[in-house]
Amino acid sequence: MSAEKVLTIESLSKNYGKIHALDNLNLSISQGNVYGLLGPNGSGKTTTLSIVMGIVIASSGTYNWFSGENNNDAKKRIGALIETPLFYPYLSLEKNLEVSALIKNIEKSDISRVLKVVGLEKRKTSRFDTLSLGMKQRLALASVLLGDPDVLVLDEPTNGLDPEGIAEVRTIIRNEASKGKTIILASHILDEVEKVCSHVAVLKSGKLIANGKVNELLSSEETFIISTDRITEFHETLKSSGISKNESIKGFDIHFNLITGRNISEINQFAFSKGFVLNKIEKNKNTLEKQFWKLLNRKYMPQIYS
Amino acid sequence: MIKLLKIELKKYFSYANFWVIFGLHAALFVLSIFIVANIKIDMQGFDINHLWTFPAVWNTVTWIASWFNLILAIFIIVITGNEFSFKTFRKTHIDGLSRHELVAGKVIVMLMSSVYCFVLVFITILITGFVKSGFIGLSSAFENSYYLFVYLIQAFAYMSVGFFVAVIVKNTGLSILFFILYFFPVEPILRGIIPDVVSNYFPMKIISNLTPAPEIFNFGGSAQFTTSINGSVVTQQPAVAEAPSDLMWLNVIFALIYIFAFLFTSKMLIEKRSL
Repeated sequence: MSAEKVLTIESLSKNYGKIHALDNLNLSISQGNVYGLLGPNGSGKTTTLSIVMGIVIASSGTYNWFSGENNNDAKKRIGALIETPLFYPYLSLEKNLEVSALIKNIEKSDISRVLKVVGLEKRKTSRFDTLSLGMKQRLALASVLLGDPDVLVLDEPTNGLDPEGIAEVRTIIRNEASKGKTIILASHILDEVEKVCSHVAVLKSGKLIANGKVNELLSSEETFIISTDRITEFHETLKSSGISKNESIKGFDIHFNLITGRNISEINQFAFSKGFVLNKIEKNKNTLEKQFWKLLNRKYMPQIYS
Repeated sequence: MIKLLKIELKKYFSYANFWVIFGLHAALFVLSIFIVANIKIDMQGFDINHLWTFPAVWNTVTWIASWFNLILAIFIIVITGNEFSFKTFRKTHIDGLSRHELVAGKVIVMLMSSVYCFVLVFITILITGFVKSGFIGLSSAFENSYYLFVYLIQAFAYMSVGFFVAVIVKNTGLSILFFILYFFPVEPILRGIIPDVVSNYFPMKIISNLTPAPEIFNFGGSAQFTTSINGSVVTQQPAVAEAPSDLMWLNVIFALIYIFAFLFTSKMLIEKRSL
């Protein structure tokens, strides 16, 4: 069963002079995917989205929305936020959205709905240039949601938002995803991609270096950190426990991974049974980040792995 | 088409600068007519009163109206420059307007502005003409009314130049500067250096010739106002002012060619460049 293709990108490249902003990108996004474009700043995420939304002209390669529908018609069915919120500063929020609604052939009545979703309904008559950065970002999101499009293209949607705003935006994205919408999300925040995406494409210096399902690519093999009084002794003991692997001593701590199927309480029990008292058990939250970097490096330091 | 018009109107009706620019345009124009029409010159064999009666009033008023075409061009530069600096060409293109429609929207604004000026000048001519000539038959009143249509083309032509400059420069302030500098002194200087055979066909020359100065200035010797038209009067084209029809229609054709060239190049630029 193959879902309908929403976006197909074939050998897409973009050069700015000698700089390859995007280098021969191939990507295909199916209906219902929540696709993360992950990469550090300058890796080509925004360039990719700008090209598929028609505002940047590719140096070579092609892309197709909805199996070859006219791009401008296709875009009317897509809600997109690229880089920064773009609006007429002197127009009210409402009027700004009315312009978008006119272009996309959407009923005016949908405007109050999307303003409510992003929590800006009280500011609808304010001029756009009176908004704070976070509010501008919310308005951009409202504009994306306008007309309830089947495809959302989001470039760093949580930019400029406070933690509460970030959580809200993620909730909105997850809600949309749960309705079966196709979402393309560019982000340099791994956590964001991991939390909301089903698929991920990792970009580095304009090259696609990994592409696939999030849980396969970024499967989180968590590192645990424990500490006890007789650390070297316990390190030796732990190695023979059959519960952990990759044990190493770092400072006053022991770092290790769990063997699949085991859980951290077994370590605690084990230590206790051997007469060790753990005074620290910690899960390393940066593991995903490290994996991401590992992913980024793999392509460029093949000698390490070969 | 209707949709593009609606979008453009939505953008400008809430835009303070729009009202300021058009308010200024109308006020300055009407004020100028009022002041100039009330100038009395007592000099032997020198009668300016005939300038305000039919049919000469068509020429006089359109000529005065042409002084303010610069304001229209600046308006187009401002709104086009805004689309670049607010990145709203991007936004509306992302929303689904084609690049062709981005240009078409501005061309519609230019058309609407020209039509508005056409009506404003038309009403002014009727009022001035009938006040100064008393009641005369409609057919003699509308003799020479082609000046008004030529003025319409001229207003549109200036706006096309403004649009062209704004599309190239993508920056409001610089565009206005370049536009005005080209208008004066760059093109006049170039025209001074380059032989008339060529320089008579320069865009600003062609476009400003569309509304020639009324008769009086041709023998009145007012150098300030004669530059544009006297250049040709002195050389081989005395007919431009005296018998406008033939040469004026040629001029109109050249102006239309320029309009097409400016708009077409702008469209190509917008379609080929990243927004």
